[in-house]
Amino acid sequence: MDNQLEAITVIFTEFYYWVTVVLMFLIHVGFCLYEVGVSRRKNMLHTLMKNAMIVPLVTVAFFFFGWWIYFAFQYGPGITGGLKEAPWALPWNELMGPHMGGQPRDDGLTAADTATWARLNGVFWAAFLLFSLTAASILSGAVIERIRSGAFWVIAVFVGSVTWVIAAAWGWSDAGWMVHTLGYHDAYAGGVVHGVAGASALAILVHLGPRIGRFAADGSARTFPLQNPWLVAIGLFLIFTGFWGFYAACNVPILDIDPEDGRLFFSATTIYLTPTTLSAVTVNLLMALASGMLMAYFLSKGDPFWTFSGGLGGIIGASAGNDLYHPMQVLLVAAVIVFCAFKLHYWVERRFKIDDAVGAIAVHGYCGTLGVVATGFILWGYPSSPAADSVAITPWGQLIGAVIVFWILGFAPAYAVGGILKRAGMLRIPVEVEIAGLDRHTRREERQQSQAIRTAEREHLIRIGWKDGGES
Amino acid sequence: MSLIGTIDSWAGNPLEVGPMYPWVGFEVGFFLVSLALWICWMVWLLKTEGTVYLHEAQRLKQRDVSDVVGGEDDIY
Repeated sequence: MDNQLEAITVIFTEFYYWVTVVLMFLIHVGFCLYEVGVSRRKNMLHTLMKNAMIVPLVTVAFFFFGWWIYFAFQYGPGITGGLKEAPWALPWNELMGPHMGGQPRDDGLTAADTATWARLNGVFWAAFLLFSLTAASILSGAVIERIRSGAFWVIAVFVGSVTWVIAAAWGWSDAGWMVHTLGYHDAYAGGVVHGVAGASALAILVHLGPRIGRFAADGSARTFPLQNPWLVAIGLFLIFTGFWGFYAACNVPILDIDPEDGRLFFSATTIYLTPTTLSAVTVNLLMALASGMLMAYFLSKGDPFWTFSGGLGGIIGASAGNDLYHPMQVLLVAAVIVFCAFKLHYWVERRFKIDDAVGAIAVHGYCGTLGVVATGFILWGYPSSPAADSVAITPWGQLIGAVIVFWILGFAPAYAVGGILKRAGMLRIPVEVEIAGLDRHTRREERQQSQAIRTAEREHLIRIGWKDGGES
Repeated sequence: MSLIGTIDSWAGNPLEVGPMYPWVGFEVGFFLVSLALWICWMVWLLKTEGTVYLHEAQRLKQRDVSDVVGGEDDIY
């Protein structure tokens, strides 16, 4: 970088994404608190560790192959081309490490690659990783209190580093084949992150089955009371906070719109490089949150779990079109989608005996996917990309896109992996351990250690001259 | 002069500086070692977890239901 304007633009962009990463980390903190708050006391440590270990496992997997998949698969399975060249995203590439942007040593790189990616590859990678952690964490809540951690982490790595990334490559990139053939529009990843993760959770729950005692003999569902509503509330507030980072990370902060027309016009853009403003999407995020909470409070008659979840559902439901909606439209869209997702949740629960412990399928899967479909009607005719031959957004393009993200990339692959793990006897905790509690043996060891320490303290007091009454 | 790195001096033209980390050229080797360790960790975890649950389930089966649910060790 040898001029100040370029340096300010690039380093501002680098810093911008760094801030989004920090904010998005709060989503993961929130998910951990939320899940532990919902878990019964006998399962809390298991629940915490199951979610927390997503961070190291998916981070490494995303470094190894997730980032490369995002670029390489953008043309789809031979639809608009073959595998796309993306040497900067390979784990052994020099641009994955500290680099000043000078001449490349790797044969696959050009000088333009190093100049563009040297300062941005790492922060882009990190922002995408945080989307991956969110996708995996969405699954985590649905399956608490009966899934084996190992099985869950295999699924988490698969969804977090493969399936959602393919969805993003296809429908959430400026070269994605779904964008260029279907006019697919999903600006804030309602379908490609939340739809995929929610559908994956549904697929795993089909194999996993409900927690023991969840359904009565007559088929009616019993409600497990919230173990710690304060943790649930704080967790969801942290997730809300992290969503500002999530939304900001979905934008490019500063870019010359249509650089080939000879005029300079800088704006924030979506990931499709279509113009929007950070201001507009910030208002829309808040309106969606408000609308979702109001509708969920109404539907659940003030139940705190559903009211907070409704806020999240509202944001996710409006996400696909939040770059272009008016706030009033957001208010209505989020309310309708949260209404539909709430009703769908209880219908699926009754009809298929699906025990989704945190409502993740409704909040993420149904809201995200319904939001994609709604965008087809509300933004009907808008160009989906800045390309001269851009395909317009349509209801049928969005509907096909919603089927692809929910069923083909969300449900089907997770169903296959879940089935393999179930056949291998690796999916569910043994029934005796599930009933006794997943923390039981850990707590027993803790109790034994505590008793040993107490005995040692007592012996110490006797040694220094205290009278021993004989009680231990 | 650095024996393993690519930087001899910070006084040169930074526009010509590419990768700054040591051992440039060995990245594929580092990748293969890291991948092997990551896979080993997953295999170790899956094996260990299976054994722990097997032993715990066998231990619990030897006890009365009233010891497991509602007994001294029970937490809910």
